[in-house]
Amino acid sequence: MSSGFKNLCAYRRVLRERAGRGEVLLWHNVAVRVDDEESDEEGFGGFGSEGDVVGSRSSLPRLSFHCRSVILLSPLTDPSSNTKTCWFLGQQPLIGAFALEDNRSTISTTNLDPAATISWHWISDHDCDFEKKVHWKEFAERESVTLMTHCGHEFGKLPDHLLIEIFVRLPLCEWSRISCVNKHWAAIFRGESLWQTAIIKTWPFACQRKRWPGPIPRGSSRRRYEALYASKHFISSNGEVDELLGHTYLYLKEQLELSMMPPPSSILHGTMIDQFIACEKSIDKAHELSSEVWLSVINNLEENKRTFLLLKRLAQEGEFFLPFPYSRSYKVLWMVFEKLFTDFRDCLNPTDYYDVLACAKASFQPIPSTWLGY
Amino acid sequence: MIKLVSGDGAEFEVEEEVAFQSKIIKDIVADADDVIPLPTVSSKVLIQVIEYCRKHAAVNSFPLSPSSSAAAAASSSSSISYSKPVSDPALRAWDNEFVKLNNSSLFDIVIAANYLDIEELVDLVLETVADRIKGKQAQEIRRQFNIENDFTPEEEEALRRENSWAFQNN
Repeated sequence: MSSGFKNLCAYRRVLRERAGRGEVLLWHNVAVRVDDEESDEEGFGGFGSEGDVVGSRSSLPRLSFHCRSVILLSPLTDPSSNTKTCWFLGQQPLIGAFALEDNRSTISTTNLDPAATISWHWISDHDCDFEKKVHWKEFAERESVTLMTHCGHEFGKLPDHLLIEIFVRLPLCEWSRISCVNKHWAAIFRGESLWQTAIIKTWPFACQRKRWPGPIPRGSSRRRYEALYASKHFISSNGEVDELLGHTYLYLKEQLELSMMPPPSSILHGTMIDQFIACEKSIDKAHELSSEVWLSVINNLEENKRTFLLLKRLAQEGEFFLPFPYSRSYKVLWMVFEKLFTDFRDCLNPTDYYDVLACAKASFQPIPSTWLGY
Repeated sequence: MIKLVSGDGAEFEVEEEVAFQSKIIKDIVADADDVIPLPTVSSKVLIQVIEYCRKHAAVNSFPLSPSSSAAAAASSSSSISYSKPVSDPALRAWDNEFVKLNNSSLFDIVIAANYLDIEELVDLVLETVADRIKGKQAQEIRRQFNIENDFTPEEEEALRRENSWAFQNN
């Protein structure tokens, strides 16, 4: 057992005795950080009554307090000496959430008067508790604690995980508005938890595996959410949602929209095929899926000048220098011509038209009559 | 009977099946005595939570009518649904009345319900709060929930652009 934990026991005893003598208020729920050197695990122990564990480190962001008095053994350890650990004790009702970020502690409370006095204790192996009374603000400045007091508004009471549960119940089209309400909410939308929760809620069977091989990265939870969304809404694959397809879709779309001069399509196609093969698809299947993704992306491009230029370029790229299966399928090329000659016919000037028509004739014989006639 | 003690010291005696709507209490009772201190829950909130549990315990203890149980079975088999909706229309109506509270009280209840692990109640309240946000502009949400706008106009505009999700309008 680590010295921190021994201190905790000792400290608890001290407090119990003092409570018995009526010197301190009775405390109800205490959250304590325990560094267990042996198991190399960090956890939170709380003793409401008898040292019951509140949560492990993984549940840290969810840990919230709603207590009359709080004693926190926070990670405000003096970095120069590991034996000193700071405790502090709030003597008034606190509702707070406690989070660890970049070794800074963030304590958010709802009803903490910044002018209120708290007592806090330094415990070290040598000198048992000496007590100081300080103001929260002063304390916060000295210990570089971020105090987030959201006094005033009602949502401040809610711990983030409940806030997230509310957000994921709202339709997606509202999210961009909600994320602009205040800084705290915006931060939630930048974080991982919201997107993780949203993925679990929307696609409970989405692949949770850790390993993600291949050239196209999986990225953050938000990225994964977007990929799953794209797979569901933009790719026709028998109604099945496939994160892999979603990621390749996003990749291709972004590469094509990247600039005026995206990489050659054969390179993009090859990258996608490599991705599918890395995710254990056969070569033929990879080729088929890549073509599927191409078709979905092209179909979902907005009808604007940029798209027109892109399609024209794809049409004029001509034959592909990579061998099968690394060349785009004819299905995709067909779609490119089809779009140019129907949706974008008005954009083609005579020179463009005959140029593109020549490319079409080089690839397809005979060409459909709808493509003919300027 | 189980005795619940609120944070301000008030005692409430409730039947087991009422208290067991809370999974936490169920677990505690399994290996402890029947007086359960709930220091983080105030009397006011505890009364409301007990009222909810009492109602739901009473309804859940009656066997469902064949049609509604069939419906429930159908909905549970077809579902990947996150929360199971309350199937009984009368109970649903009662729930709707129950949540006609101001935001602040609702938040107190959901914090307590979350602590006590009463899944259905957490769900009910969160659903209600979500409904109150739904369809509103950021400014309206701020006004309704008394949230301060801590952005400068430029920051807000930049954020709006950043967060106009790529897939939103498709």
